[in-house]
Amino acid sequence: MEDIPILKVNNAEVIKKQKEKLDKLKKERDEKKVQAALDRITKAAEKVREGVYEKDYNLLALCVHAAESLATVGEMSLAMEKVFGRYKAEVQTISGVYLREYRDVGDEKEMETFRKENQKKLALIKEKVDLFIKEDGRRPRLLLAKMGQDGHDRGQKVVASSFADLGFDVDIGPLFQSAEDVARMALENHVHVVGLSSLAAGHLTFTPSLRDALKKVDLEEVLIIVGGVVPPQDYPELKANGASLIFGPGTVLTDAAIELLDLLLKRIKK
Amino acid sequence: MKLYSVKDYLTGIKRNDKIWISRALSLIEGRRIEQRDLSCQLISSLEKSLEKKSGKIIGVSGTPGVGKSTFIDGLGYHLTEDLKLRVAVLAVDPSSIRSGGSVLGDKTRMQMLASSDLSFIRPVALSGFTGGVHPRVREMSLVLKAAGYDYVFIESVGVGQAEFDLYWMVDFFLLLIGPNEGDAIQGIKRGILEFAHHIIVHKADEISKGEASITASQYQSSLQILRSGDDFIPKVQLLSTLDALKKKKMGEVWAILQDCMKDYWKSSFFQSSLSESLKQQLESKLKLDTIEMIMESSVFEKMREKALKELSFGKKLPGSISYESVKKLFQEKNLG
Repeated sequence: MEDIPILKVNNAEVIKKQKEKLDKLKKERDEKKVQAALDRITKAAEKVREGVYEKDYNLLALCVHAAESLATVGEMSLAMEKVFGRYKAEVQTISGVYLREYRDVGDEKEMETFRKENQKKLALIKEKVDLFIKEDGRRPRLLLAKMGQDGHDRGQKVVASSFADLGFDVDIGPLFQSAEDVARMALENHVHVVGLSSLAAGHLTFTPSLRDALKKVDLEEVLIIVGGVVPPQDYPELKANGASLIFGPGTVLTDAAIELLDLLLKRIKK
Repeated sequence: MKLYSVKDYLTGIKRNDKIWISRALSLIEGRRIEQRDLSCQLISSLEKSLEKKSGKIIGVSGTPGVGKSTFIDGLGYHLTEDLKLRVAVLAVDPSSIRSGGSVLGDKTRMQMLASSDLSFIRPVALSGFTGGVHPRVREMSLVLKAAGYDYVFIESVGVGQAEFDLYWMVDFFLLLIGPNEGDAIQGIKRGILEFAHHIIVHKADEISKGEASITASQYQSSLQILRSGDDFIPKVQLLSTLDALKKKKMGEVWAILQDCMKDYWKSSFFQSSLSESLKQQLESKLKLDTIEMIMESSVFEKMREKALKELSFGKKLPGSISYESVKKLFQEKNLG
C-alpha cells in the first residue's frame, strides 16, 4: 500500500493540554452557579422521566444555561445520568454466516477459483486450530476489545462472528472500556489473545496502556493484536508498544486467522 | 498452557488471587492428559479447604432469551453491592457444531456485576458437549467456592429438557420461564416439575403481569399435585429483574429466594437426594471419561481413518461401517 499522508495527532499531548484547560476552567468559574445549573438539569430530568413536559424542564435549554455558567459537557451528562442511567449497548451477534459463505459452491466460473482457494484455507485453518488444541489443551481464545470513546463495533462483530466460525472461542468486550476493564476481562476469561479493535484513532494511546494493564495482572503472555483503521505509518510504533500483529483495512479474515494461529503455535513450541 | 504445581494453584486460589483462579479453571478445561491428571489432583486437594467454606452453587436454567444473564446480573449486583457478598458466575455459551468455535457474549449482559470488585465471571464454551453445560463446570465451581465466593452461579445454555446434567451438580436449581410459557413448553413441563427447586416466571413486568400470574398458578398447582409426597415443594415466583432494580426491590426478591433455599436444605427431600446426586455425577463422568479416553487414543484415530476409507468405497452405509468397526475394535482388545 502506498503511503497516504496522514495528519498525526499526538494523543498524549492533546490529553495533557485538555486536562490543563479543564483544571483552569474549574478554578476560575463560579462553582456555586455551576452546581445550581446542574441541579436544575437533574431536577428537570426527574420531571421528564415522570412524563411532565413543561417549558421549565426543557433539558436542552437548561444545558445551554449550564454551558453559559461554564459547566462541562461531562458534568451535564452526569447530571442527567443520575436520573436516566447510562446507555448500555447490547451486543448481538450471529454465527455461521461466514462459514457458509466460504463453503458455498455456486455455478459462476469466475468464482470457482476464489472459492476453491478459500476451501483450502479453511482446511488449513482447521488443521492449525486442531493442532493448537492438541498442544495447548484449550481452543484458541480471543477477546475482542473496544476501548475509549469509539462506538464503531461493526468490525468487532464481523471479526467475532467469523473467527468463531473459523474455530476460535471469541469473547466480545463491551464498548467504551478502559485498559483496566479489558485486562480484567482477559484475566477472568483467560484468553490467549486480546484483539483491540480501533476505529477512532486511539490505537497509539490504547495499545501501550493495554500492554501495561495486562502486565499488572500477570498476563504478559497474552498476545495483543490490533485491527481497524490503522495507517501503516503507525505500525512500527505499535509493534514497539506491545502489538504482535496489526490488521489494517482490507485484511482478509482467513489470512488474518492463519497469521495469528502461526504465531500462537510458534509461541507454544518455544 | 503453562502448568504449575498443585501447591501453587492451591495457595493462589485460597488467596482469591484471580490469576490463579483463572489458571485453575483453564486447567480443568484442558484436554491434554497431563492437564487432566493435574486437575484431578488439584480437585482432590481442594476438598479439605472446601469443608470450611459455606459457599453455595446455584444452577440457573431456562429457555433461550428468558433473561438468565439479566437475572444473574441484577441479583449478583444486589449481593455484591448491597450485601458485600462475593459472587462468581460460570456462564455456559453454546459452540458451533461445525467449527467448534463460539461467540461468548453472555458476560456483556452482566456489566453491572462484572464491574464489581467482589465478582468473578468466566464464560465457558460448551465445546461440543451435550447436556446444556460443560461437564466439568462442577469442578470449576468447586475452585470458585474454595476461592471464597459465597455464591457461584452456573448459567446453562438454555436448551430445555437436555439440561438436567446441571441439576445434579448444584446445591440449588433455579428455573426461569417466560410469562407466556404456560402452554408453550408442555413438552418439557414434566422435566421441569420433577427437577426444579424453584421456578421464576421472568419478565413479569406491568405489561405481562396478567399472563405471568396465570402461568405461575398453573405451575404452582401442578407442583402441589406432583410433589405432594415430598416435604419440599418448589415455589413459583413472579419477577421482572429490570423492574426490581428500578424500584430497588432486589432485596425482597433475594429474601424470598433465600427462604426457599433454606426450606430446601432443611428438608429430608434434600438429604435423600444427596447420594443420588453423587451417583448421577459419577455416572455422567464415567461416560465422559470413557468416551474421551477412547476418542483421543491412537486406536480410535486408526479406526476412524479406516472407516472413512471404507465409506469412500461407497459399498456400505455409515451405520454398519461404524458398528462393525467398533465391534471389531472391542473384540481385538478383549474388551467385550
